[in-house]
Amino acid sequence: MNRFGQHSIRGKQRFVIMLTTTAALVLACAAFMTYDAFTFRRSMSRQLETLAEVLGANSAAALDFGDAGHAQEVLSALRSQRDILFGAIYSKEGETFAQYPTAERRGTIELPPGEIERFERDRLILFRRIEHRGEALGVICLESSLAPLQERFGQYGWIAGGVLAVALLAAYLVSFRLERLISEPILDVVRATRAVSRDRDYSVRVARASDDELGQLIDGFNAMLVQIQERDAALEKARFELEARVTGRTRELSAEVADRRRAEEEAERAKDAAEAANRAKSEFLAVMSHEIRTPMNAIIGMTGLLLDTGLQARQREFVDAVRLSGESLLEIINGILDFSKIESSKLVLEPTDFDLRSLVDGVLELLAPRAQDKGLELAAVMNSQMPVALRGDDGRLRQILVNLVGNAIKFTQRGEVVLRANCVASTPTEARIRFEVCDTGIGIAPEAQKHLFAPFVQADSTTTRRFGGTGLGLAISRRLAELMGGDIGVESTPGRGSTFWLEVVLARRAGAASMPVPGGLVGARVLVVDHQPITREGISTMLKGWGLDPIEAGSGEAAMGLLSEAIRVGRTIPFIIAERHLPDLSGLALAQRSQELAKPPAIILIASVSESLVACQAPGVVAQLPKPVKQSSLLDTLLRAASPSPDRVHGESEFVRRPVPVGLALPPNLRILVAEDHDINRRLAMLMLQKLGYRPHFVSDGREALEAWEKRPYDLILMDCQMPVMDGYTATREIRRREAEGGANGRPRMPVVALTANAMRGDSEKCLAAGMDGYLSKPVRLEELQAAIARYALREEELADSGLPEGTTAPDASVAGMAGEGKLAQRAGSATPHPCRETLEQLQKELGAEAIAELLASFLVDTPPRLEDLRRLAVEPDRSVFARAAHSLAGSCGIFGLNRMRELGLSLEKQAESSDPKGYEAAFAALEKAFDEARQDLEACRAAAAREVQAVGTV
Amino acid sequence: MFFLGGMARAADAPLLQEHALKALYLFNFTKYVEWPERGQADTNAFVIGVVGSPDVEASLKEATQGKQVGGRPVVIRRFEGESDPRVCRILYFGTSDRSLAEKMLEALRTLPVLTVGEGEAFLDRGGMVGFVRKDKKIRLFIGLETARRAGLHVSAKLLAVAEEVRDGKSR
Repeated sequence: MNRFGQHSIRGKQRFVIMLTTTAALVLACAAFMTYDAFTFRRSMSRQLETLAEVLGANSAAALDFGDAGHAQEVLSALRSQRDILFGAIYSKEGETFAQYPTAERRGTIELPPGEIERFERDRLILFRRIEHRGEALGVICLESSLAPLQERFGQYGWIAGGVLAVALLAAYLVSFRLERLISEPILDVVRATRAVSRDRDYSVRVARASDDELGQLIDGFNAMLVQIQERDAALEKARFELEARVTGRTRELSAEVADRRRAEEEAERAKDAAEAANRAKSEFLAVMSHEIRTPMNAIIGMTGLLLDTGLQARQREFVDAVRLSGESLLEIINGILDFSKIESSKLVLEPTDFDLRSLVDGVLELLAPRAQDKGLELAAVMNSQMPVALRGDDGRLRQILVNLVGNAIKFTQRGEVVLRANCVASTPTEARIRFEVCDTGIGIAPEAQKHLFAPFVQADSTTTRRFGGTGLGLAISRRLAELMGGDIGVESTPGRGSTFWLEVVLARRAGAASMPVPGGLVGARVLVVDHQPITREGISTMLKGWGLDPIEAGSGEAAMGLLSEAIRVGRTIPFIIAERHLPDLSGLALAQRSQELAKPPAIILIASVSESLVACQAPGVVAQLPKPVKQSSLLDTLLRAASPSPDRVHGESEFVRRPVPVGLALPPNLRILVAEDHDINRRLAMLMLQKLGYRPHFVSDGREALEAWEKRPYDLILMDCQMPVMDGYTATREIRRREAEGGANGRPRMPVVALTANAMRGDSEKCLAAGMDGYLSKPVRLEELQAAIARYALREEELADSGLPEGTTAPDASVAGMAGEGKLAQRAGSATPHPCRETLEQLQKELGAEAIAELLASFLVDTPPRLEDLRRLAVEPDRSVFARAAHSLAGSCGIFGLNRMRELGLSLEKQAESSDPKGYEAAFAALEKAFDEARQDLEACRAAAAREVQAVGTV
Repeated sequence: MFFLGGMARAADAPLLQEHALKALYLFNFTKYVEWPERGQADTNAFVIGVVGSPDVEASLKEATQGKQVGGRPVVIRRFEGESDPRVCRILYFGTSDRSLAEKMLEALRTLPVLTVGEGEAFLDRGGMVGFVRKDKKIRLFIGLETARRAGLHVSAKLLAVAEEVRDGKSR
């Protein structure tokens, strides 16, 4: 059926027709042949019967009279009958009477009962009675061949086959006709379907040929096509509408995209503008800070001067308040300046080699007075194994630590502040150092901790009122820590104190530890007595780091107990380090008690800064160290105490040594040439150098300097950079050139130190490029001047004699600006950390009140005409004259810390070559305003100095 | 019908006694010979007469016991010269008495009686059928002309089995 199903409907139809036709024909032929066979057989048997009758009748007499021959003759008539196979006449008893053919004569047979005719496979057998006049005489038997019948059947077969073939042919032909009736419409539908599915042409219709089911099918098919066509049309329409909508939407979208792009561009522009504005803001802040600092310096300086005059208690109180306010304001401004510098990415780390112990000691030393003012315990605990020979920006690191420790002190009312240092990770080349500053202060609430390191935020706005400060310090510290490859953070519980931690990555320096381990001290027992555990810990850690064996005692009594025990067993305690004022027992009492030991120990007392100034005369006390104890001091003291002939330095502490004793150690007869064009500056230099014991030679410009150098040998030239006729750079270059040509008559290389008012970063390079050996930025400090002389003017042996450690005050560290201010903070042990204040203080300290008074008087008198000159020169064609005048004014202002005026002067100098003179007006106005503002203060200062001079004179 | 008991048949002749065979033949003649209605004695019986030969007579009586011919019972009668033979339809001459035979033949010459005798010579004496012994079989010699003259019709079938038929013309 499957295979049948594969054929076309036309094939099936033909097949059905042929099959039907064949079946009908075969059935018909079979029926006909059957009937014919029957008829033929009957006629055959009738013929045979007739023959038997005739033969029987003819042989009756022969039977009656036993005439077998006659009967044989009768039977021989069968010869003419071709189909007769056999014939025989039997007697009534079944005995064969006659037979045809005669061969194989049969004997007696069993006669069948009655007359029969029987068809066998190939023959018909007939038995008939022979009667005569009603009397049975015998039986005749005939056997006829069925060959005719078979022959007839064969003939019929052929005929039937022929008929079948003809009929099938006819049927096949007829099926063509039928096909048109049935399959043709179906094939039409099929063709239409193919066309539709191939061409998607739904307009095709099938012609209807009849009203029968096929006609209905075609109608249905056409109706379906109509529906599809309609649906297609609807779809097409919908698609078209959709396309239109998509097109419209796309247009809208592209418009939107364009809008968005425009918006993005605007946003980008806005961002750029915002960034530019931010940069401008930072720059503005930097400039502003600078501008503000100038008058601040004046305020602080003048108040400082004022404080030195004879003031009533009430006046002193007011002036103190002014000074403190000024200092806070300056601190804020410094913070802002730092921060804005960091924000505008102008801050660059300046790595130098440093010793971490010294750095930590310095920080503690700086802040110790404040801590002691508040009665706080301040201590450092450094892991003795950690690397200390490091390289990094120690100034910045110090700044962070000062900030953290300073904050801790600020926010702690009682208890202690501990600075711990440890190395958390280390490679041969780098070390990650972790500092922790723990206090017992007010603590910080968790929500406040989050914002703590953001700029302009403090833990609590109330604390701002209580403690002051901008909160910039931590923000700056964080940026600095990040610059150093580290981080900063805080852990705190409100009311319990805070721990600020700082981690920075520093380069390690190869080489020996800066603290040599004192071999003679190793294993020595040291009794450390202090009621503050943290102090004990700090000292013990140091001692252990050096290989000593510290024993701690928390009170005088405990220490006494330990001492007694030691006395009893005869144990040696070579050193005792004791707090001078233990709560229960004086350190002195302990010292006395310890003298009872078999070998009296060397006693080192530790005391607050102020106390340490008071000498302590007691047996066994070898030294008195200020808190917090510096490692270097302690080690020095221990070494000295342990030396065979202990040079007992009773009452002399490390702290009370001035860093640079004035007039100390410098050789007296140095020949110094100062090239300076400006009167006041010249005067100042004169005063300073006189103070240092020199009588310098002055010239007004580079050419004169060159001439002077040619004529006379000098030990040092201080060269102003901006001078008329020939500037300092040119002059120096000329000196170097001539030296190289041998024109210096075999003298050693001439040390030249630049004096520059430009606190610009590029200045140092410029000076070095010109062949100068160093430079001092104006206003020059006496200390710096001294250091510069020591460094550049002295020969090696002189330097060694001077007692100044090499590089203690490197001139390049004193470059004005940020670094200078950083240094100030480091140095602020006893003085205020304000530069202007320091300027005036230093000036007065270095040069004396008289000199100050004189300088100020000179400045106050000189400045107004110089300003007028400046205005006048502004319109002159010779720009260099104007530039020099501006520069000169700036330099004068710098001397007195009038930085605002100095900056204005410098900016005028810079603008001199290029700008439109009319643009100066604002600068002139600002200059005059600044001078007017400063004038009274300066006058007051001058007056104060003059009074002091008189007072001193009168006393 | 086929197996009629006691019926003698020519085919069984060799098994039969000669007189029995002759008696059977005599009766069989009734089937092949037709007798005219005229000239017959008005008797109801079909009389077969026997002259001489008691064996044949006995066999005849035995063979025709209860039989009819043409609706008439067969009667066997013995003739010795004194009875009128005209009553017979078939008359067999088994006697060697020639004179008697001739006399009777003379008397029956024009009468419709089938005369049957022994030997070919019987025909010469005016007889109609003669039995001749030949090859252990009894063959028939028929004098057809004589029979026709006597008004008898002899069936062709009988003639077909006869050894010799004398019809006057062929002779």
